Amino acid sequence: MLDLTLFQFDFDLSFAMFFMNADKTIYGRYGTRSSIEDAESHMSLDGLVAALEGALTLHNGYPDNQSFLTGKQAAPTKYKTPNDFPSLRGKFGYELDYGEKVVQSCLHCHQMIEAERLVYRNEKKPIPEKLLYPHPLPKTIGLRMDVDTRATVKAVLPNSEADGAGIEPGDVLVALDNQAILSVADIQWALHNAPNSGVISATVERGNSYLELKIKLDALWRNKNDISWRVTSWDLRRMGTGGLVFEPVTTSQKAQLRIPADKLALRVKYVGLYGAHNVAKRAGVKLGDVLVACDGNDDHLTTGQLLGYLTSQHKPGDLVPMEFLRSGQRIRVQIRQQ
Amino acid sequence: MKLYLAAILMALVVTPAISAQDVQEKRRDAVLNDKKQFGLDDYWVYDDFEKGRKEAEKTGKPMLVVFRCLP
Repeated sequence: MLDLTLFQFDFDLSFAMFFMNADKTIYGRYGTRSSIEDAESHMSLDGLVAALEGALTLHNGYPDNQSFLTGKQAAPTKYKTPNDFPSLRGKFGYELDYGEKVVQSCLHCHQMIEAERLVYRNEKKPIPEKLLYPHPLPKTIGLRMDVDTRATVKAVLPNSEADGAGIEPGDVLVALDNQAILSVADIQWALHNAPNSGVISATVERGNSYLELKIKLDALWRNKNDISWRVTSWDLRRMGTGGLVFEPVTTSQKAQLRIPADKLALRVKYVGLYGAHNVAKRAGVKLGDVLVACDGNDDHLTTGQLLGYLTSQHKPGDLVPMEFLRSGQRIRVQIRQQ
Repeated sequence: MKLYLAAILMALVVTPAISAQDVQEKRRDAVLNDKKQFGLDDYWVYDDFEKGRKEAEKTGKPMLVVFRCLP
């Protein structure tokens, strides 16, 4: 059974690596994904080799370099194995059954995220932002990385957090929040454990110089992290939208619908049919409807931001008013939160 | 390249709950074949972290731990 006091990574992944010392000290992580269809756009063999070389350098410098590794270790958790989550307890054995039932004996990695969210949901507590928007991609703070390198910045989004810190294309991100960086996954780990608002340090190599920079993280910085591709967003859809899957409405489509560009517009591309996923269907929502207001607010939201808002601001049982556009008509429904 | 001096392969196999029998069987075969292939390979330690850790301790080499999901 997976030791969660040691191995913590993005559980929506289908591939993850750890570089470690025999004393269980983690040097780094590798493996990143941002799409259900494309599992490899954030990884490359060249990038992996560079990360492995970095891990060997850390290994050769260990333990003198321990201060740069402290933040890379697993965060304290009350759930030592997946079986310790209340909703998973007793459902799986502690070992895989390598017999005929091997598939049934496998725990789905994503079930751990869902199980942890359910702990809060079932206690009618808001799901923490860190759990709603796990392992933020570098682009969440405006960074695009060269995946063929260990951690070279390829581009910086104007007016982003990274831009504000003074990070430039070509910089090599040596450390983030005092953690040695070997890969995009390491950046994600540092961001995952960064505060919901505050300042984190960044050390970059630029030419022959090392620069110490400060990245300012404003409130709600995490919700720019796109979670809509994640398998675990499926259960958030059940909780918040009653089983709806949305797709974005483009600016030109908004114009055709007479919706201002800065206002909410998410088109329903799937309506859940069964069980707890058919709450929206029973409320009258149909395929192709366009969500234009939620809880009295019509400001622009991404699907991830909508799911995050609903599951952090509302408790199970709450009725949330939503307004949809259908053939030019406004349709008002109430979605019971689960 | 002798980068992974002590390597561990831990397969945490993740498969969605589906009802189609043939897909289940295909996945079962993929998992069992994977174990057969890598379990017999001296290069990897399969699904036994402690064994790999002890090997790393004995040799002073770092570990590469891999989690993957078989399609």
